[in-house]
Formats: sequence, C-alpha cells, structure tokens
Amino acid sequence: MALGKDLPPKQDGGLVIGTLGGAEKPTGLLTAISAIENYAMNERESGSVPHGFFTTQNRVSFFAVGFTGGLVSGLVAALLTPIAIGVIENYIPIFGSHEPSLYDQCFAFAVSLSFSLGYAAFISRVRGDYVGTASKSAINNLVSGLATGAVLKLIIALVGFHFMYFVVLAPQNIGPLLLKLHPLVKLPTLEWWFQWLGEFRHVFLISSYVIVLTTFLTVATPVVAIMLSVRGSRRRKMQEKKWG
Amino acid sequence: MLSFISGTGLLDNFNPLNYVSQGEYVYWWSEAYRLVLSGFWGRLIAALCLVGAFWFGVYRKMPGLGIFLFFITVTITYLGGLIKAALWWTN
Repeated sequence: MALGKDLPPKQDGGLVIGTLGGAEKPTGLLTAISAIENYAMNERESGSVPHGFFTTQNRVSFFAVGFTGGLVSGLVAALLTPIAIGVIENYIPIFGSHEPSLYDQCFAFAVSLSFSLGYAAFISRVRGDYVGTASKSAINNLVSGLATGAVLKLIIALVGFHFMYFVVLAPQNIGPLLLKLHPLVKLPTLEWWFQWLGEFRHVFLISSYVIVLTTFLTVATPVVAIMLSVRGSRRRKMQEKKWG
Repeated sequence: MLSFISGTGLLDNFNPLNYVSQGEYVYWWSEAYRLVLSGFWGRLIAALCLVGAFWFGVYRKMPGLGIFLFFITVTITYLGGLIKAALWWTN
C-alpha cells in the first residue's frame, strides 16, 4: 500500500516525543517546562534520544522562551529597584509611612528582588529533569536564554538609570522642564518637586549597581540548582555501583 | 439614554450616600485604608501575599496565581504612599 510508506516506523515501547519534525516547539515558559518534563520522562524510560532529534529550531525556541522571560522579569525588577532604594533612603513612603522600619526596608528590597528571583526559581524546578540528550539540550538553551535576557536587561537598566541621573534629572534640565508646568502647578509645589527630584536622582545611580546583584542572583539560581542536582545524581549513581 | 435611566432614579440606588451619611462613608474608607494599606495588618497581608506568590508560583507551579499575588503585594506596599501623595497634591 502506497500510503503505508509515509507512516513512521513502529516503536515498541520506545520514545514517543513530539512530532515527526523533531521535538515540540515551546510557545511560553509553561510549555517549555512541560516539554522538558516530557523529554526527561521518556529519556528515563528509554534512554537518550539521537543527537539529531533536538534540531537547531528547537534550540532557538527554548532559547527565545528563556530570553523573553529573563528580559521581562528583569525589567519588572529594574522598575521596582529605584522604588525600593527610595524607600530605604526615606524618599518614598511604604505602607503609607515616610519613616520605614528595618522590616519595611527589608520588605521593599525583597519585593524588588522577588519577581526575577521567583522566575529563576520556577525555571530551576527542571533541575531534576537534566537526564538525557534532549532534556539537557532544552534546559541548557532555556537557561542560557534566561542569562542572555538578564544581561540585556542589565545593560538597558545601566544605560537608562545613568541617563536618568546625568541627563533627565540633571538640575539644568529638570528646572526648565518643571517650569513648563507652571500655569498648571503652583510655584511652591514646583520648587518642592525640584528639590525632591534633585535629592532623589542619586537613587538611580545606586539602583544601577544593585541591579547587577539582582542579575547575578537571577542567573546563578538555576545554574547552581542544576549543578547541585547533577552532582547529587552522580553521587547516587556511584553509590549504586559500589553496592552492586 | 443616560438621562432616561437617571430620570427613573435607577442610578440613585447605586449612590452610597443614600444609605449612609458622608461622614460615615469617609470614615469607612479611611478605616479600610488604615487596615489594608498601612499599619500592622497591611504589613501582614503584604508579607502573606509575597510568601503566597512564591508558594503558588514556584512550589505549586501555578505561575498565574503567583504573579497575581505578587502584584497584590506591590499594590498593598506602595498604594498607601501613593494615596497620601495624591491627597497632599489635592490639598
């Protein structure tokens, strides 16, 4: 039968991953993690897939998912960081109070870190699935995408915050800009704003270096989690060999 | 169209000042603000929401709920200051 030639070869309990064109292409973080769990489960059952299975397009898809996540989650953290530093330096109120306690200061800092750390921790949950060719390749590409996105976010934030400090909020620029609001806003209010912005601008400089720490933690979280998991499973295997 | 509805008095049913005095109404809102956006309860709710964001988003693999709780945390943490600034601005 002619049609029979087009059918894939039967697999006797072997790998059933994705479509004929290779592994499935993730559209978002959830589908990427589901795909990795699927590869890992199949590779535990039936051994590693052939090297050609995970195509270049699959690698790029996983990289893109990690990259988008790293960039977006990092930008949320980048927006919250100057606010947190503003709270710590008593410029911005927290819980309606202008005099933050130590708890409030720590909480503001924790909130600014949480989004990107949570994202990195969510990706780290695949650490146990680092088992065969396909799952390893998928995880490597996802994490390297996350790292690239985080580094790009770092560059954007560094440039943006320095631009805020040296150009936008520089006294010679912010003064004329505020004066344009004069008919709408009273002069004493504008004067207060000018003074506040003049004092607040150094927060952007501090934030641009705090973001380096955030980026480091975002990248290090999944990398360390995967390394620890790999070391743990290697030790387990050696122990099993010893015990026969 | 809207004048027809207001003519029937239908929209008046939604006006809270038909049921409570203005002073009482303002008191309720300031109490709600004091309870949720500032003080001990605001801090407790925000901390629980942040822990919940990690618990549901990372541990229970429910990122949608995690993100929702995170944004509630941010709202409770900073909205109080924003309202204060808005009130200062209008006064």
